Amino acid sequence: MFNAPGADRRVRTRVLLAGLAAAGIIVACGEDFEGGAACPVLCPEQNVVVFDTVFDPVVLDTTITGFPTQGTETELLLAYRGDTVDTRPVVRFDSLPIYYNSGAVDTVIQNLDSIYVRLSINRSRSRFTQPVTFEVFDVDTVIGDSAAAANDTSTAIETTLFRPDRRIGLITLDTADITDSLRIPIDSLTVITRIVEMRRLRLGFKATSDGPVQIRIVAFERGDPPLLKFLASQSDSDFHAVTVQPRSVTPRSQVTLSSDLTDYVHVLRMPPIPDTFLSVGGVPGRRTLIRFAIPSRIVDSSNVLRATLELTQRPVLSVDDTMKLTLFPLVVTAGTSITDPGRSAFLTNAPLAGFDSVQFAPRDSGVVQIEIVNALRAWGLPISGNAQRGIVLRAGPESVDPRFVSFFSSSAAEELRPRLRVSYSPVRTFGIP
Amino acid sequence: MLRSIMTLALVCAPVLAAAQGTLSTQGFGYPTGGLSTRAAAAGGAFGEFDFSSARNPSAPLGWGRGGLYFQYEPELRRIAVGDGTDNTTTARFPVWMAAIQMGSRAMGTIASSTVLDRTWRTRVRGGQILGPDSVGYEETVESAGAINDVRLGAAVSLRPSLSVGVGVHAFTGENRMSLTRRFDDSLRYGTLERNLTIGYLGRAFSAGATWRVTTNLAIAASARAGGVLDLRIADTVLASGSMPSRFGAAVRFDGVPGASLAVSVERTAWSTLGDLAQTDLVANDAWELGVGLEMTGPRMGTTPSQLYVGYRSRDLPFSVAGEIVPERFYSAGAGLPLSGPRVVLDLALQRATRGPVAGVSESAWIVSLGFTVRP
Repeated sequence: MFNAPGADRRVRTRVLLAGLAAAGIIVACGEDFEGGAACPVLCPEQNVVVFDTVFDPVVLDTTITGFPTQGTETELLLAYRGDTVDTRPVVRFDSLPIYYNSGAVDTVIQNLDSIYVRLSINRSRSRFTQPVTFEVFDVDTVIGDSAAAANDTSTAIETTLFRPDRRIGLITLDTADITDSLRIPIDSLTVITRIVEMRRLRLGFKATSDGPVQIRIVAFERGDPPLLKFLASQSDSDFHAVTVQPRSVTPRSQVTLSSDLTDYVHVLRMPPIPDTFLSVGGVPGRRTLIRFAIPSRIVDSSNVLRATLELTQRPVLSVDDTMKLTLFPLVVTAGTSITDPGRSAFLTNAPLAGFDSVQFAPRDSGVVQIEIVNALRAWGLPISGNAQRGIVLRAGPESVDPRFVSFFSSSAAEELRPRLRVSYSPVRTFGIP
Repeated sequence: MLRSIMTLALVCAPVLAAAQGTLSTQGFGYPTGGLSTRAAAAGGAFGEFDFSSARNPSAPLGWGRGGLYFQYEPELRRIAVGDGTDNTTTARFPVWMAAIQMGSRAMGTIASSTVLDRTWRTRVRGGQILGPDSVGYEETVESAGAINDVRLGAAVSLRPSLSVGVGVHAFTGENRMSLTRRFDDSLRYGTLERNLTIGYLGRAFSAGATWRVTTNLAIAASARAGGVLDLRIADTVLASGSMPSRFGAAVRFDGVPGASLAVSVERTAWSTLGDLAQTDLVANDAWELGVGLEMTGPRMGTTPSQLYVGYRSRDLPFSVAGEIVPERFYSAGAGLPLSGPRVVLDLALQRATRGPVAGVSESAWIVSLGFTVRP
């Protein structure tokens, strides 16, 4: 078969045009934007004027205590440092089993053996240099403390129950024996009595040592809580392993609060934190809230290129006061309708979202700088019209480290007050030849 | 085929051109010239006679009947400064035109052509003092857009040897500018970002004539009187000036069988744009000289193809470091009848050199595809 001459030409023409079109697309679309060899001779010079200003922007600065709120800690600080630091966690086992499963049927628990409480430890973040003695106390306020039983959310009473007649567990471990999981034996008579009488068990922990002790116990909120373990039997033989999860059932009218109080920490001693200064860190955790008034010409009509919060640090003489403490600047996400500083300090963005962390040693002094440019840029966005212009400083993590840093507040002498140093470029026209 | 060309245009349209500090895109931009592919292939010398070029409003009588013209023109540019070079690619759609026959002796046209293409991007590194620190940054400045000439024209044949035409021009367009200065540490330093749209609005009037003096000799000339041109930011007129007036003339000789030779000259008063300048920009009036040859090529079907060669020389309107930038073109091309004379694909390849000025020289390959349909 032969094609007509006209058909051949059409085919050739189409092939030619298709080739040209493909070449054209490749040529036009394969662009290269990188370079700059002809700059600055040929590059347009942009008139970017940058102003630097330092001013006192603070309309409110205060310290709020209690972060995280009691019972919501992800780690429980068990610490003992002589007459300086003493913190003692409490774990509630308000629901003890009265049966164990022996195969096909549930069997009533009448005998116990090998009772211990297992604690998961954040070993790398814990500190101890000498053998540590762990003591466990029965801190249930119902037993012999009828006055406290009526109001058992008032945990203050419990701090008086860490006494010898209530001690139900004791073990001393060498430093090498303290791994990421601790087992502390518990008195079996106490536990079996609670099981048989269907009453609750609340355990308080105390650590002592010849050296400093700071042990971070993984809490219920982090998913690997302290556990009560034992072997159960109806007789003197045929024991079965039973594990009891911690649980709090009081206050009964507040489910969330009762769940939070599954485990928590009592602070018996902590280095004093003066109220007249801004402070960050410590146990219970403290945050500093600073609200700003920033001129509209900077936030709304300019590109903010740098914003540095300058604080004057005052030295704190305390434990480990030369070790640097990490602080996170957070932007307040609460609206202007929320006036309570405590709530404002709670409603923030996440750490490291837009800001670098900073590190300060508690013993240091002088002016420190915290970069918050992304806060000012966020406040200039239309969506931020009703947002508080506030910054929160928090330690990371909170409530598991007794150290804290302190700064002079806006009520201090003028040269010691918080300042804001801003570099900004007013919006102007550009690019007109 | 028209659909294919349009597809090509759509594929490439979102990809705007980029240039790194070039000689050609200084000031208000690069003058693409308003030449069709075939006129550009012949050095612009036939621009005054060419029905699909946007220069002479009397020329559209050459359409013969109504039709459409569309042009696509990528430019591959190389800028050399000492040992450093940049290579960029710019995609343009510099001319389109629609013609409507108005009786046996008149033709109406609407045409759009790019007057000044201001599409470029620069990226440089620099440093700045912010607070107590010196901070490094990368700055990107980008411009996209152009001043375009939308012409409504009419051409009339007064005699078989003489035609005249007039055009009413509206100059519109915008430059979409962006400036981004990104510092090396984005958590510590905020990025400087600015966006600005510069709008242009102006008008002008043009007239032209084509006279075939003898069988082998023709003369064409046209002029455009520039009207007011406003530079706007949103609704605010920032500056007013005049659209540059221009004058062009050409002579065509058809005495050689199968070939035509033309010489053209054009003068554009770019200096009137100086009234719009907000900087020390210097705009210069410029001459353009073109010489071109058009020859009959091999037949494609029953219709002969056309071959073109040419040379063009001009000065660019905006000075660099006080020096005028010269530009030279060497060009060649072909006109391929795809379906007789009614559907024609014109191809052109131009080699442009610019400068050297201030130690910078620029060269470019410009590929041009023009598509004419006369249903």
